[in-house]
Amino acid sequence: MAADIGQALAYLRKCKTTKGNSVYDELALALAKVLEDRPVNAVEALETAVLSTPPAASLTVPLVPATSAAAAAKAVATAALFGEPAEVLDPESGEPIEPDAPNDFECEDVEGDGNLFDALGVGLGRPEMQAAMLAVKKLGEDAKRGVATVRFFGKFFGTQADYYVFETTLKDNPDMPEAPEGTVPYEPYGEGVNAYIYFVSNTLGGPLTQLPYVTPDQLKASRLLHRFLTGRLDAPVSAYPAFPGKEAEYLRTLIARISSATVCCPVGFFLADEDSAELSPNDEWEPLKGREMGLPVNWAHRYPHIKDQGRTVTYKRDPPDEEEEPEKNFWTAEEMEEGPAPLSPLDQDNPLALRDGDPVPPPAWSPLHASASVTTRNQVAGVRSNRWPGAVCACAGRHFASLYVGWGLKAVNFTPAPPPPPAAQWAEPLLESNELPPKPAPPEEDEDE
Amino acid sequence: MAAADAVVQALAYLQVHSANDGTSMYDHLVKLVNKVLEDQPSKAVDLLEASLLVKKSTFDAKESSPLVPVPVVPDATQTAAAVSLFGDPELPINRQTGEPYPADPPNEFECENMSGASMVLDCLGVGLGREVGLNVALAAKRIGEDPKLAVKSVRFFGKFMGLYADYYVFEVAFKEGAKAAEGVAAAAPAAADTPAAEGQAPAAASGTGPAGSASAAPEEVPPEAPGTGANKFTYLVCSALGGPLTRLPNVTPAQVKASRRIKKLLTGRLTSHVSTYPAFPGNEANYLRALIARIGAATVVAPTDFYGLNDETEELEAAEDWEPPPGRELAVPSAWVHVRPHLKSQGRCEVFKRELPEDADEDEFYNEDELEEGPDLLASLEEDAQLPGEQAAWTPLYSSSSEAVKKQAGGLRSLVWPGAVCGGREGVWTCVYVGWGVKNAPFVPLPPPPVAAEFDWAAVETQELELKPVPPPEDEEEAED
Repeated sequence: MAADIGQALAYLRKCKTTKGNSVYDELALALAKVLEDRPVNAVEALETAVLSTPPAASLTVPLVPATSAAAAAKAVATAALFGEPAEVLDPESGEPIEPDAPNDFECEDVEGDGNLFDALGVGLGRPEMQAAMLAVKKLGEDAKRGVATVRFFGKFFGTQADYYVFETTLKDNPDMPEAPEGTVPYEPYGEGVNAYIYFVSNTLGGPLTQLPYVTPDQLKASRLLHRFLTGRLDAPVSAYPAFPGKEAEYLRTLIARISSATVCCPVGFFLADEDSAELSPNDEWEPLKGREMGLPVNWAHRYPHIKDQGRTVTYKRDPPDEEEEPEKNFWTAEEMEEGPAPLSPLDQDNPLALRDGDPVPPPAWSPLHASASVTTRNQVAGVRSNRWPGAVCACAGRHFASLYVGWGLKAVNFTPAPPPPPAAQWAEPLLESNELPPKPAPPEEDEDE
Repeated sequence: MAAADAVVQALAYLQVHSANDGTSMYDHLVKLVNKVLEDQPSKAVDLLEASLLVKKSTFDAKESSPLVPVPVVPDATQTAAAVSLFGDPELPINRQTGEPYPADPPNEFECENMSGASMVLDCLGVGLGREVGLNVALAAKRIGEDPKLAVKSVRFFGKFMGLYADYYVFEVAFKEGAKAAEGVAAAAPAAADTPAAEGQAPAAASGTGPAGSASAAPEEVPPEAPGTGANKFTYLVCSALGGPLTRLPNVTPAQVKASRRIKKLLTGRLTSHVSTYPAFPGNEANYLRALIARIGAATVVAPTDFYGLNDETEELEAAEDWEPPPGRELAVPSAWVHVRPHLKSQGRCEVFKRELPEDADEDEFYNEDELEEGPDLLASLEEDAQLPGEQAAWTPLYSSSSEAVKKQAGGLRSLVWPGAVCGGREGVWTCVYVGWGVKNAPFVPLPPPPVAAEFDWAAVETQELELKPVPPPEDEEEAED
């Protein structure tokens, strides 16, 4: 018996624990701790208090470990949106630098818009829209940017990072160079596709980048592509069909196409001037009851239609002889395109292509309602786009808004452009012909001889 | 020796059986060591894991918890009631045809933008929250659309919390000429003291005058007619949103005065007894109704200039050209006004004065209550009486710590009736009460009445001796013999 105990004790002294000492020593230490501390629920707390070592008191261990430094930076940037901005101290004097006076700007009720979309079950959700509201405020108040109006356009998802897009007008537009000779001229700032200037950031509260102006070539090229965004503005886009620019330009074209196709206002809210197609607010507009705004016929396109040429107003070349009428077929089909009238209602949008099993072609827009019951008051109603999935418009009384949250992909039967035909080795006319050249006349037989 | 004692004590401590764990440290370590000796692990032992494993594998002699948890009945009722609010109400089925009875067309009624109101309160961090706010809106819709009730307007007054259950209170006005709430059960009236006038008068807005209650005793102040003053609105309560509604009886001045002398929590059951001393004339339904009258008169407010007083009808009318101020400007008391008539000490909104006999001076004849002149309707909140220490009666509520945020919500919360709040954002405003029905005012319980005298001291035999009667003259005695 004693031998057994002796053997058992010897074994215990030999057997190692994961901490390095023997089981015997560990148990001795544990017992010593229990007898010293006399914890209340000793058996229950054996594992947590006695056997485990407390974590080393290290100040660098965060409460919620960040998955990466980038994720932590994003969280810090978004958190910095809330509350008053931290004071920046002048490194030399140690005094706080006075921030510039905040810029005066106009914006919509982004938080209220978030409420509208939340009622319909679309969009980013209320917490993210609150952060968007603060990001809009931060952009608007930035004295260096000098924006006049800001609108939150929406969010583009990307494979590596996302884009949050803000649509602004600046108090002073930057310069735009002229288009090269012989090409379709660009639309200047404040008109057509370049009516607004867009800022993007990867996170709400993060650094903003101003996107460049968009050119007709870029728009035409972007229609041939069906690509995800990566989240990096300098990423290459496409070698074939060649896209003239990087992801920043590509994103800008997507924004132009999506805003032209999906940003809407209630029918009758604006009046279009016949000649200039400028919009003016309609004083006599009365909001419809909530549920009726779920019908596409009650919405109208807010921004002008982009023509095949890549501009909202087609550019027609001047005919060579200004006095005489140009001959027929001088202008290409592109230049002759007329497109829909401004403020056209959504029910006149072309339906999507018929797919297998569809009895009718799917419409371009579907209704969205906040309540299944018809009698609930103050309902929010809206429409969502089927052509650009992720684009939604919502309206409740006088308050309406549009938003895009998506991948930047159009719902279209996309076929990649086929490769160009292989080049000919040489031009046809140089080919040896099968016709024999005329035989040269034999030399006359000479009188010689 | 001391060492031996220490060891014995240590062993004794280790062997203390812990009821929580069902074992003692000594037994547990014994099992642990046994496990290590049996397993003879080749790799290093993690004592922590081993200890946990031992604990898991030992039989627990504690009373095992039931396999099927006992359902909590009150929560299930609340949930079932809330679920019934969504969708259309179920129609009873005609036994003969098997089809549901056709539904009556829903009643037309007015109410505020409840989803907007719950958003404003949520921005300010007060009120019931958006999920419950949605249920409140649906419950109000049910009340309003009920063709049997035929209400003109519905408003969510607020929530009173009670010890065992809560009350959700809806303030309802009936259409002119409608019969008073046939479709809703009336609260059981308290014994004896409720004046009979409450049951008699129909809910017509014009109603009979104060003198119409025939049974009011001459000293008793008559209650206000339904549709006027403190009884202008009818209140429907339920314990669970979507659950059965009970109509509260109209309030009498005696009940209002008595409710001012007590400070009681509600129990959640409308038939509960309230107070014996000082006697409250009624049960909890009457007490709740009196609280609603006091809280409503003090804390139902609207933004300044939103309503105008129509001189002819003496009703409040929404002004057409009201410009909603930016949210943060609504966080000052001067931005809000009272829209309910002030409840006087007498217990009525309009003071009842007894008929003045001829040749009597007004100031001498009338008592203090009857001479009270309260503030006008549409008085600003700035003029509310301050609390002790020059503390304003209303403190501000903001939705943003930064002034630069456009389109914020701003509001006030009452310090006199904790739980009463009002707020607005972008033209949508509301006010609500969520509380215990307890006023923040110094309260001293009424001292007991003086001890009753045993008998009337005046009739007590005096200590003074009466004059002794004069003895009869002796001549008469001799004559009788």
